[in-house]
Amino acid sequence: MYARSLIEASLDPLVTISADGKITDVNEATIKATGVARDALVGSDFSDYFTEPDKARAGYQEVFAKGEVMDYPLALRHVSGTVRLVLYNASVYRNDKGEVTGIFAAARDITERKLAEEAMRHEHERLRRFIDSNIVGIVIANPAGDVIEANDYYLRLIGHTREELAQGKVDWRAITPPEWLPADEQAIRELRERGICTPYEKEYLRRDGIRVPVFLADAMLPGPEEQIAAIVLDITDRKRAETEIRKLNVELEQRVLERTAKLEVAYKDLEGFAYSVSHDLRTPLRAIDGFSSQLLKRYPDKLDDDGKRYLNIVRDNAQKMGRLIDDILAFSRMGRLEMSESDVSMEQLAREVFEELKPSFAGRELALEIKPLPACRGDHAMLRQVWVNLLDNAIKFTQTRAAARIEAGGITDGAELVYYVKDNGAGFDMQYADKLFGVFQRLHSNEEFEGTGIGLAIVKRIVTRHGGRVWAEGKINEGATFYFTLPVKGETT
Amino acid sequence: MTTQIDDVEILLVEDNRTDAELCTLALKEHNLANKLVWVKDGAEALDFLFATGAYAGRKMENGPKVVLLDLRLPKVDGMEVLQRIKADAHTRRIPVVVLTSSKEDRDVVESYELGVNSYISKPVDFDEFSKVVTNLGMYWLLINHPPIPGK
Repeated sequence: MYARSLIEASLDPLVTISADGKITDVNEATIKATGVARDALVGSDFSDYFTEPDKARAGYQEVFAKGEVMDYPLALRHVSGTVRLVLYNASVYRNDKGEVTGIFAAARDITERKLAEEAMRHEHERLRRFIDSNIVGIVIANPAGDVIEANDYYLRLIGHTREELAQGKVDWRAITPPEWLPADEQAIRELRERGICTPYEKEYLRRDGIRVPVFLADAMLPGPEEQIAAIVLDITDRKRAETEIRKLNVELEQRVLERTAKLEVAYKDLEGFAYSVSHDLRTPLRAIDGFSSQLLKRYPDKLDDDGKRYLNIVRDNAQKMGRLIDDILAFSRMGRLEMSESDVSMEQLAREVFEELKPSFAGRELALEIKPLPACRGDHAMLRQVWVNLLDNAIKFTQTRAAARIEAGGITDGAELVYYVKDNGAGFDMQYADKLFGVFQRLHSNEEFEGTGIGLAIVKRIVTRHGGRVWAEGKINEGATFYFTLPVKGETT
Repeated sequence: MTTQIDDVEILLVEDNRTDAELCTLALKEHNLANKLVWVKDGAEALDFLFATGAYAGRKMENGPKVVLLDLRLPKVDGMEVLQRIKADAHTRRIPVVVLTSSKEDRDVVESYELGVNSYISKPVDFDEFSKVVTNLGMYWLLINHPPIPGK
């Protein structure tokens, strides 16, 4: 027999079962666990309330057979559908005569425990998966040097086997080059203080003697003994790349220095050359011209007309060569001169230059129209030279026109200032447009138009030095337009 | 030329014989070369100006009235001659005209830094050259009014 009050006192679901498997009594906990009323439970089949009725049936049959069963696992289903995991302890009970009349079964709900176990197992598995993924080295060691646990990445990195690890033969201190131990000691001090350390770099001496640079971060693990968990990253590739970059930088710097030195030498050579040309080449020319002049002056009677003409040709050519030398020096100077930048009113500059050039076309009918010109930043003297050369050119190449017209204008086009000088002069064949700006390149004979062919080359050099471009458009006998651009700069208004 | 040594108007310092001759020719055309001494390098120029070496005994107060100085000279170059003239109290009042082939900015700037009185780049065209030399001869010998030597 059993005492009902005791059954009710239990918080675990308790039932009694008859020999044919019918429930004969239940406590409140059972009603709660199944969601079924006492009346409905009593008389119903015990096995009906489990996810595996056969297993439930086998359970109570085993009790009848053996007298008792301990920790028999079953899953109890509540009417709402939720399932609780339970362990049954059951034993038979007898009547006054000692005959078995039923089973007394007590269920213990182990769902929470199971879930917790499951969660822990899952957590552990996740961690294990992470460790075994071997994307980084993971190691657990103590401050004394013993490596307690390590994944394959770490073992591979230091060149040791798992067997050696299992035998306790792996000592991180032993495989750290002495000069790196202070970094480790510092990390340990920090770990003791804060539980973690600032990630740092060190080297391991791999089994094969090769030093492996690594990056590592440590955390102190909780527990009675000091154990440190560390992630370790092989940074051999990164270090190699860093070294390579450093080397390349040094090489590059060296190369820049060498190149600069060479350029300086070349520049000095050029300067020396220009100086020499300036001094030495003119002197003989002066002698040629001077003494030809003396011959013409002092010995007019001894020279016939041809003789005089020849001497004049000598003089003409000596003087022409003098101009060529001057031009080439001027061109060279434009490349060497230091630029000093300031705000330049291009309109005012163009007007001034035109005024100065007026004597060169005295007596000609020539109209100049200067449209509004945007101001710019640049070297005032050099830009003045640009206007001199372009306007002088236009004046020269319109000399055959009865009514010469020259127009200067400019616009701001995005990041560029575009200026132009247009004339109705002799023009040129577009086929040779690229030759216009070359040194001593001429598209007209000296008989047609005088000049050495340096003016536009100087224009190009100045404009290029200012970061601009030059080009020209034209048609034979229909005039020409020369364009140049300058970059728009902040200070310009 | 030693006969004229005590009454010199122009000291021409020029290493190039033809240039010197052309210069003299140009001056002669206007009767300006009568009291001209030509020296061929900087050392001789200094000897003349400071009455040393071959010119020891020359009286310094007897001119020249103007020095025409080339820059590229053997032994002592023109810049140094200029510097010595302008550094010495006895010679610094003598007008110095640099007469050279160079048009290089650095030569012009340096000459003026040293106190040159005029800087002239020799033209290739003799007619131009003659005009320039005559003008400067006229100017320094006839128009310019220098302080009286020794005062």
